[in-house]
Amino acid sequence: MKKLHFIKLSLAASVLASGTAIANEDTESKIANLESQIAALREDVKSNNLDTLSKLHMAGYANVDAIAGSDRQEDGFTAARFAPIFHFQFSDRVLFEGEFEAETDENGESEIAVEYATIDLILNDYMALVAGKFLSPIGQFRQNVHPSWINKLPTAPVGFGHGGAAPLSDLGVQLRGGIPLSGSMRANYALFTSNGPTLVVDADPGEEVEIELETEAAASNGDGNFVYGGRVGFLPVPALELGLSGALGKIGVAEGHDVSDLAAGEPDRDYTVLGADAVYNLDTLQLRGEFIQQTVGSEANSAVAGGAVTEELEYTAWYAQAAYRVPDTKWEGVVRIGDLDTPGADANRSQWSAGVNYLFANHVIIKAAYTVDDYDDNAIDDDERFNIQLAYGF
Amino acid sequence: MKLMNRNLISNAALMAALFFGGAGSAAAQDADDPMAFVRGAQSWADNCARCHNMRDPAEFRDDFWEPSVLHMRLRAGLTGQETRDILTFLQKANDPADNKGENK
Repeated sequence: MKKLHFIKLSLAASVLASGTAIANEDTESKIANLESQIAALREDVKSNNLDTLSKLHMAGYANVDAIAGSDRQEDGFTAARFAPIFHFQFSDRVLFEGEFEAETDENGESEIAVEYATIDLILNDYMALVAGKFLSPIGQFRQNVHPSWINKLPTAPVGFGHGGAAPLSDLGVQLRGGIPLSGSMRANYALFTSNGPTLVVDADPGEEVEIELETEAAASNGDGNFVYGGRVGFLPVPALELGLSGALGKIGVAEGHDVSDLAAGEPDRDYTVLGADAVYNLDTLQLRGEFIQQTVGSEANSAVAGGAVTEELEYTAWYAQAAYRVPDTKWEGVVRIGDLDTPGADANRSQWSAGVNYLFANHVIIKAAYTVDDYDDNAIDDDERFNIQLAYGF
Repeated sequence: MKLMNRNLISNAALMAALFFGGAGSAAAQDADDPMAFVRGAQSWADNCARCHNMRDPAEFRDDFWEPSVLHMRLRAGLTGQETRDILTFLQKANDPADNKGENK
């Protein structure tokens, strides 16, 4: 009896042992298989050569716009814009970044512009040297908010687009960086010198004198003067940034359409620009505002356009904006008010906009907004319109 | 005169080392810093939404995030440390196996 019991136990033990051996063999084979897969993946990564010193990345944005209901423009599609941004990085120290803006104009022609193109050298943890054509460091909208997938409304605030009151871009050098202060308190800065803007006075015989402060960077410094300035941002808490910016220098006066067409014998003018900006984020609510004023000093001896521009010239624009994304949805509401004052009385107006956005993704947004331009000159009809924009940041 | 030149050169070399030094070695140290991911997540949350909607870490692979984050360092006025922390966060949070690329 005892013998039979012993045989049964031996049989059970041998079955169990052989089962365990099979399981061990199976596990070992799986591990070997995984190891060979990891080795193959390593080879694959190595052959793709992703971890190189030089890296290229293309970002940017695109948008398609439409307008309806305006008395100044027929209903229809008004823009197809493609703005690729190229980033070429070498080690941790050098970055080239350049943004093209390509769009189809009203005649069906393609327009291409270089928005910015800079070589950036990282000097240390708190400072970088940026050289080339850069977006104006005055204020926030131009340098950080203008891309269509970032701007909460289909249009730029009045005075902050091309031909407005806010400086657009500079050709020169800047030092910029961030500084930790205390706890979560931080500051950032940008100091620059550039060729500066040019005052363009267009006075065709028999026509009204047109004055424009051309702030798009040009690859010439016809007047030989430089502008010096910068912006300091202060963040007492991460959700709030307060910025002050300014620049000063001398600028030349051009007669005609081109900035390089400097008026002979016309004295240079004093130029100053002052800016203040703020942004505050509270959960899904964002409040943003900005004020910019450019001033060109008076010049009693000015002879251009028959002495039409001897007085001081001021270009002022501001806006305030609130955007609220309904929590846990893809819907966002935006309201914005703003104002523009320039020496060109025809352009002066206040503006308000109210819009609704639907976010297919955080970087793919369709925006619809109703905007009213209320012109200071009562002889000019107000303009009311709907703007629709599909924007994609990539 | 020679001694003066030598002093000048050595002082200039010291200044250059102080000025340009730091970032490279700091980057190497950060790779092993277990808190870099946590600091990076916080910096990402604190800074990016100030201007734009948050981008999903899974949108780009590691080598694409590098120039992108360097670009944002200049735009947002970030320090080198904040930049490296955010990069560490994005590169560790972009595993497609853990993240389906959905809009958060």
